[in-house]
This record gives sequence, structure tokens and C-alpha cells, in this order.
Amino acid sequence: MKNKSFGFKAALVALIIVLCFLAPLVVKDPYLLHIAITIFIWSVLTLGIRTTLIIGHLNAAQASFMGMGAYFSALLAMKLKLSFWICLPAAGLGAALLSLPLGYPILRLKGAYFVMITFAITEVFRHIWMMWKSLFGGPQGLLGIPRPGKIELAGLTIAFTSKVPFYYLALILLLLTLLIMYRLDRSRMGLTMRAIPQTELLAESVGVPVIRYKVMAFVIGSFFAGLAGSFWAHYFTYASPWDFTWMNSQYMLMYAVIGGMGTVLGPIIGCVVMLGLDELFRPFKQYMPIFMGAVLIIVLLYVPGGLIALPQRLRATFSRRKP
Amino acid sequence: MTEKNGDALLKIDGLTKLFGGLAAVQKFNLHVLEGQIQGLIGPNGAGKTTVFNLASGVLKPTRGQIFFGDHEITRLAPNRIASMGLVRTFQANVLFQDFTVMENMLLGCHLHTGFGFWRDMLNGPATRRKKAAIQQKADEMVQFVGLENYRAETAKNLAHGHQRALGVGVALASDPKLLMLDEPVSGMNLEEKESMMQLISRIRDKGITVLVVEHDMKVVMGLCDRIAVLNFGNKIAEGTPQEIQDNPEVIEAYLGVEQ
Repeated sequence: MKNKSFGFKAALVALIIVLCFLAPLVVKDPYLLHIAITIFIWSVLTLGIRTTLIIGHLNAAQASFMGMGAYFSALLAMKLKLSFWICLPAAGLGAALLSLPLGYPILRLKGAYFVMITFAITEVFRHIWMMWKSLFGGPQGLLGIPRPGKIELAGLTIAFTSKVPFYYLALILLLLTLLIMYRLDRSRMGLTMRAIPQTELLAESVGVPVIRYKVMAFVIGSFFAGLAGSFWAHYFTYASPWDFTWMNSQYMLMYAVIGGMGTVLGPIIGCVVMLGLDELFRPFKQYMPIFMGAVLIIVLLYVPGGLIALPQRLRATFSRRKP
Repeated sequence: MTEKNGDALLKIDGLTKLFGGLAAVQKFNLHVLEGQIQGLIGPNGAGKTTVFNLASGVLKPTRGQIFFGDHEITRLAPNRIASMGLVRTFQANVLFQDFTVMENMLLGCHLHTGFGFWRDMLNGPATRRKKAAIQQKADEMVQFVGLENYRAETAKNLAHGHQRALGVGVALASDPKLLMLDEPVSGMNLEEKESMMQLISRIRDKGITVLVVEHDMKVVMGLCDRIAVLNFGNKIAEGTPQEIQDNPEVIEAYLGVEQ
């Protein structure tokens, strides 16, 4: 029974992935491709923030590590003239390395205190970018970040001049993230991480180095934030302090919770639905936060497992109604 | 009962813990001998749980030293102490409540995991073999504590007695040399008490030393090889169950004295 439903889900996911790869052959509208790219990259970010949610912490600094990845990557490309293909992984590693020494002290804080300290980190980072004009360009940010260089693949030259190659790159980044997060969920480490918020006391008393696991989750999340940041910078060709705000971290948290953080697909569904609605109701943009808040409240109250748990939830409701 | 008069496995030496001005434990000494069940009793607020928290590293002592085997463990972190073979259970139903019985046991086996991040993620054949061995070990432990019919049950749905048994099992799964049980039969009915007592005896028969804090006199007297009595943070008596029962100071502490 369980295996059957897993097989069905796997087939569905495979089908969607194939459709995503084929989509640009049909969809030529750059606007739609841009929306898809945005959804892919936000999914990477939201999957990243989910790892800190799993260990029981609300991370308000994910967007800042994205920003650090973006600036780091941009500076490597502009000052050292490094290729984007080196900058991209370097940005992920840079963000991860930055989060490592920060993680040890701050992950000892719990609940609201952790939210506050990550919020403080966001502000510190933002002020560094604003004030250090010679390096980060101040309030207007860095302009003229080079686009990824041409790559030769099986006799095919791919130049990043249109949306399509960016679309594929974002899709591949997302699939890579998804694969790693899925493996993490099924690993021993994933089990231990999910155990920690249930009771740290017991986890420690059977020998789990709780703080090390928490830092690991935080560093993994930051790595993907850095990757996403690098992509973002080279895609838009600019990076400014206004792109990596506290509010963006809030949206990532919201998408993760609305989609459901029980599985790796939840955050992606959250991003697709919420960013999709965001675009659909673009004329009413100023009212979106109200709408998002309402959706969040409804999901938290009626579908605690998030949208991913909705079918299961509906099935339970209807079978209860039956006599 | 096999009276094995081994060396002291746990040595507590002049242990003092002050909470503000209040001495929860004062100049407390205790030797737990290898292979025995050592009881620690005392009226409410006598400092028993504080001793537990100090020995397991949850609290740090104000003064004094704790030795486990040949190592001093006085100020080590709880997970370090656990990895040396001193593992405890908790008074309340502290379990991974949203996990199944099996998953709880797997967490208990954490110290045997022994593969790092990349091996865990890549999940090669050698790692998979190791994981299967851990699964096997966890399953044996589920059977040892008598929960084989509840493998896939979520911990929070178990009956009280089963939850306590699982708590002991999780601690036991880490292969401790010394197991510290904090009020293992509190809130249990007679039948549950009986099976918990049997479980503790079987743990000792496996060669694991046990230190048990308990209120229930019948359980303590029936189970322990030696007993220490705490009152107001001071040790007032120590000896065999018979000696403790006849000790006037102990009777006074528990029942009060006629004026």
C-alpha cells in the first residue's frame, strides 16, 4: 500500500521534472521563463531554510547568507576575473564557511532569541554592504556583474544571453538541491536532526553532540543560500543591499511552512503556489502581504502539515464524514 | 543475586552544588561498585535528582569531583559523558515523542553509528551494512525491553509503563557501563512495577552497573545491593537494604521523630 503510493509519487515527480526540461521548447515568453527561474531559485533558498527549521530554529538570516554569496561571487568575478563556474561553488562554500563560526554561538540560543540574533545578523550584514562603499558599492550595490561565460557542451555552445540557459541552470541547481536534501532526510543524520527539537536533553544523554548537528544543519542551509545568491547576482548582473532583506527570509520561512516541511517537496510546492499567486495578482501587489498572512493563518490552523499534507488531510476529513 | 565486589566504577567525591545560597547537595560522597545495583533514596527535595544531573553533566557542580572508571568527568558535556559509558534516563517521559519505538531505539544507538557525513549521504555498501547492523541492534533492544509488539507505534501513543520501558531501552541501546535510572517506577501500577523490576534485574545480569533513584521503598529494598540515603543534601546513611531499614536516622528522616 505504502510502496504503491510511493511509486505513484515518484512517477509524478519524474513526470514533472521531464515537463520542466521540455517546457522551454514550447514556452518562449521571457516573462514566464523569468517567473519559473524565480520559483526555482526561491525553492533552493526555501529548501535551505528548511534544514534549520528541522532542528527547531526559525532562521531570519537566510537572505543575508544569500546576499553574502551574491557579493562574494560578484567580487570574485569582477576583481579577480574568475569564471562564473568557479564563482558559483565558491559562493556556496563562502557562505557555508561564514555561517560556521557564527553558528556555534548563536545556535545555543532558542526560540525568540534565535530569531532576534539572526535578525541582528541581517542588519549587520546589510550595514556592512551599505557602509563599505569601496568594496560593496554602498546603497546602490554592485553593477555590471558579468554574466556566466559561454560553455561548450558536446559540440554545442551555450551562451547566457537569453533566459533559456538561465532557466536550465536554475532547474539543475534546484534538482541538485532536491537530491541532496532528499538524501539528507533519509540518512542517519536526518533522523538525528529531526530528533533534536523533540528533546535535546535525551539526545545529549545518548551521546548526540547536539550543537554540532545544529551547526551542520545551519551550514548546509547557508551553503545553498550562497549558491542561490551567486546565481541571482550573475542573472540580474547587479546586487544591492535591498535584495537581501529580513523580509525575504520571512517569505522563505512562510513558503516552507505553507508548503509543508515534512518532506522535501513541501517547500517547493509552497514556492510554486505562493510565488505563482504573487504573479497572478500582480496588479494588487500592495495587498499581497495581507493575503499571504491570511493564507499562512489558514494553513497553520487547518492544515498543520502544510499544502503537501492537504490530500491526506482531505481524505481523512471525508472518510470521517462517511457513516 | 551475584555479589560481585568489583572496584568502584563511579566515584563521587565531596560533591557540592549551591543554587544561590541553598546547598542542594553538600559534600556528598558515593562509590558505585561495578556489577551492582546501587540505590539512592531520600525524601522529596533531598537532592537525589541533583546528584543525577551533576553526574550526567546536565548541571555543573560548585565543588567536588566525579570519576568514572579512571577518568575525571566533573565538567564534561553530557554527550561526552554518555560516550564514555555513563548514560541516564529521565524522570518524566522524556522520549522522542513523535518518533516510533524503532526510531527511538535507533537514536539510542547513536554512539555506534560511527560513520561521518559523506559516508552517510553516499550510503555505499559498507555504510549500508553498518546501518543494517544498527537496525538489528535496535531491534534486539526493542525485544529486550518487551516492546516487540509496538515497533511501529509512535512513542506518545504508548501506555505509561511502555513509555518508561522505552526510555530505559533508549539509554540501554547506547551500551552503557553504568546506567542511571531516575525514578523508573514512578506513576506505575503494580503490574508495571513488577515488570520494570525484572527489567532492571536483567540489566544487571547483563553486567551493567545500575544506579537507581527511587521513592518506592518496596522496589528499592527488593532490588538494590547497596543503598545510600540523602536528606537535605547530606548523606545520612549507607549500607545494605537491611542495614538501611534498621537505621534510626533513616527512620527519622522518613517518618519524623516523636517529641
